[in-house]
Amino acid sequence: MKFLELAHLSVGYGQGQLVLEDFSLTVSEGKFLSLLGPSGCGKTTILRTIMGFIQAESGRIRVNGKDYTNLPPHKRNFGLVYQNYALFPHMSVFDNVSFGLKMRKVHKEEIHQRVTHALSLVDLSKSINRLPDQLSGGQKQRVALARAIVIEPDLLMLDEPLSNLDAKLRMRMRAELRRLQETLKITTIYVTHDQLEALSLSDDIVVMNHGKIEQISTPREIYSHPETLFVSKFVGFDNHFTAKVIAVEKQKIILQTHDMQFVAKPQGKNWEPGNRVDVSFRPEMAILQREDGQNMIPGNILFRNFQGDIEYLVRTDLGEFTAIIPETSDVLDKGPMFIGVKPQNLIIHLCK
Amino acid sequence: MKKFVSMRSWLLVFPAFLFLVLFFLIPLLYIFVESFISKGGFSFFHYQETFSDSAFRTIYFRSIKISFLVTLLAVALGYPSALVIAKMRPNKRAFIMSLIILTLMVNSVARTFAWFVIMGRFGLINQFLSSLSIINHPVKILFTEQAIIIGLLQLFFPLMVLPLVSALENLPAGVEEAARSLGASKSKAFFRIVFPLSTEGLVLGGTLVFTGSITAYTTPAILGGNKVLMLSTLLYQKSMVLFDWGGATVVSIVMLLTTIALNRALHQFKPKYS
Amino acid sequence: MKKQWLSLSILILTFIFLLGPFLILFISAFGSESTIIFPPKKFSIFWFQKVLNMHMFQNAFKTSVFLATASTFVALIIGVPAAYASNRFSYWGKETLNLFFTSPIIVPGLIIGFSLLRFFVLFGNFSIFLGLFIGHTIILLPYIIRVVSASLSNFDTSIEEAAVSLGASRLKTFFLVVLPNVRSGVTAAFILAFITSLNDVPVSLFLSGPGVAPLPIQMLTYMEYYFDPTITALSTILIVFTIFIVQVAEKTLGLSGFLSGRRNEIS
Repeated sequence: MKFLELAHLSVGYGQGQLVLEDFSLTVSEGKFLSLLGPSGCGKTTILRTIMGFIQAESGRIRVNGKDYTNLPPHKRNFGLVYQNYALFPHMSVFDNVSFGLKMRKVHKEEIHQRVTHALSLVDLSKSINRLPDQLSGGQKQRVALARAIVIEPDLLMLDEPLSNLDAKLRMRMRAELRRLQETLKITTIYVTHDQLEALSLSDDIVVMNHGKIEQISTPREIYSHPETLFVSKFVGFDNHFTAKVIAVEKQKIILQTHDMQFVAKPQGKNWEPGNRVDVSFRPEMAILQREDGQNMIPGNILFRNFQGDIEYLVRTDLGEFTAIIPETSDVLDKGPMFIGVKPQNLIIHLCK
Repeated sequence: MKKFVSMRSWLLVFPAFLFLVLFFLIPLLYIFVESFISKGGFSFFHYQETFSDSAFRTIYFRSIKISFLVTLLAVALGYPSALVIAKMRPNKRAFIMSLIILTLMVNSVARTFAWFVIMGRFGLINQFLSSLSIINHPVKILFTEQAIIIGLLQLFFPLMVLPLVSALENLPAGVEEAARSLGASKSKAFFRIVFPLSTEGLVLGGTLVFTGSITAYTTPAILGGNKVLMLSTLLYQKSMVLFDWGGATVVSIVMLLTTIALNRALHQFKPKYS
Repeated sequence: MKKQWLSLSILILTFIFLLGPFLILFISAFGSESTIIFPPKKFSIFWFQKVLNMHMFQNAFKTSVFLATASTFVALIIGVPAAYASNRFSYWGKETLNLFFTSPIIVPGLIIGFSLLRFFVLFGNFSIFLGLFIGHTIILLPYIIRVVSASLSNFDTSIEEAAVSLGASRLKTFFLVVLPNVRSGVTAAFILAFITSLNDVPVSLFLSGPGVAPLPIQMLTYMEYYFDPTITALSTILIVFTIFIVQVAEKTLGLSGFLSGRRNEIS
């Protein structure tokens, strides 16, 4: 059920440089979708194009069947929340939140009722008459949110809204945001470069790179089975090395590099002996032990870093790898070790 | 849609644009053309007449000379003042700056007239000197080049100090101290680090003072009168007194081109880094 | 320690040089003699009374105020949209246009006034006041554009976009969201322009005429024929008046912030 449809959008900033080329995406109603990617990948451009601040060179934008491509931005019914809140400095919280309703010429009584309801949803009823500069960052963000949802938008769009908040506040706001979205069932697009945020909030994640979609999947899928090298590097598969496929069987494939052999799962793809592949695994999945074993690489612990759990930097002939081990296990001294991972935790991508 | 935005922007910009074209650009072009017209046809007559007039040449070079001297004096007196002001505490500094800006806001006629009182035959200076019996009869100070220089200096002094203070304030923090810590003496630190970094302010101030002095009217008019003419007072005389419109247009074109050339030239001294 | 004395004396000398003449002006304005003598022999406010009652100066003052108000207003009306467009949009010819808008500052006021005079002659009977008004607007425009542009660039575009996303057209956004927040910038521009117009000599010099002259020109004319403390008294009044306006502006707006790096025709 296509609620939001972006069809073959090409967007540029003039001078012939296209940020997005033939970009297509559909979102189902009520879903929370994250656009995840590094700066410059085009995720904010998509947002601004949907809003109408940027005009696409070609392509169409449809929401709920209606064509929005040529509609001026102030006639679209989309809610927008900015990273820096963008509250009107000269207006009180009430006036900020009621602004959209005033533009829609809603009656005074109805405005009052809807604004107080929206503010209660974000837990800010007590600040209703304050000015923005009297509010904390978290409070300002909630006002921005209330202002965007009170107009009952067809689409809610958030551009890295939590980046300016400190870590603890960010976690709280994440939970509140998700709860709000689920209650109101608004189709939401969330732009971020923080993979943890995307993973914890979304129904679906779109990983983007240089204007192209690398992968669209659920958070779980992306976390355990990144489809491309870029995605794997972006979602935390920090350990990489290259190898060659030397044998393919039904349940496993054998890889070789230097003079070591590794066992991995085929992951539903067709491999052929001779394929050069990139092999990666998560630091969290790494095993550190004194003895050799299947998929174990000999190495030396270079560095040990306590950060709640313990992060080890291990140098091997295949490169330097990171392992993150919970503190409960024995803390290992520097010295010769083996680092490795179970076959099912090895992710393999064909080298281009 | 992009074209639409472009058109809408032009709508906003158009009234100001039209106004300037009609009442600024066209009149300038008009006098430019007028300077080349004599007896109904194209001719260099006005230019020849003006440039061959030794009085004009005297006046022109005098204007440049005076402006140059004023600028030099402004730097000599202004730089030390700016240094002192830049080092003051922010509160005091803001107060001093606002005083300086205040003087800029005062009518130029009033400001120049004050010098009239001081330099006149029965003015302050003469009274002072004669009361000390240094002189027997009043010294002629008014209506001399010196008078104009002093008047212009006082008028434009703030325009030198303000950009300088601004530039000195904006020095990367701790630069002078870093130089001192590396072994530079106080004066070395100044001449090698502080002074070069303040060049931008110096150039700005210098340009303002120089161009201001060449185009000033009130001060040369009051303190120079008809005896010591500068380009500006010459322009007035030719147009409003003598009705020599051809000559007047030439003087105005000369003034305009000189000012533009000056701006260009001084711009070269702006530091390349930023 | 020695450094402190040096600094202090430099500062004091500078200020004597800058402000001393004003002081002398003040004092001699209170003289009772019919010529300007310093120091005055007797204290009197005769000249102040005289100057305030002179029709010539009363008319000139009214003309100046009227002129300043009219030209500042028009400069604002055409300048603010131009500043806004320059700050928010990109369009064909923008760089050249911006250069063009600031060019009146580079051209000496004398030349602007003179060229307008010659230009208006082509049109036969031209109202003197209209000519003055046009001339003043021309020189005020760059200041307005510069100061308003600076205010606008300090105002976050995302706030405007938020308003648009909530349903306000660009025009509504300008009046409801932008203007209230750049009000101090616009007011500062207004005051700056107003004072510049009041003080102007170069442009008004050529565009004034019999009966219609702004105050500074009237003062110059008077000085051609008379040499008495009238002008000293008038100058004193003007200086006090200016100080008053600037102080009010400074207290309410922090005017000096807008003036660092200011180019000005002040003579």
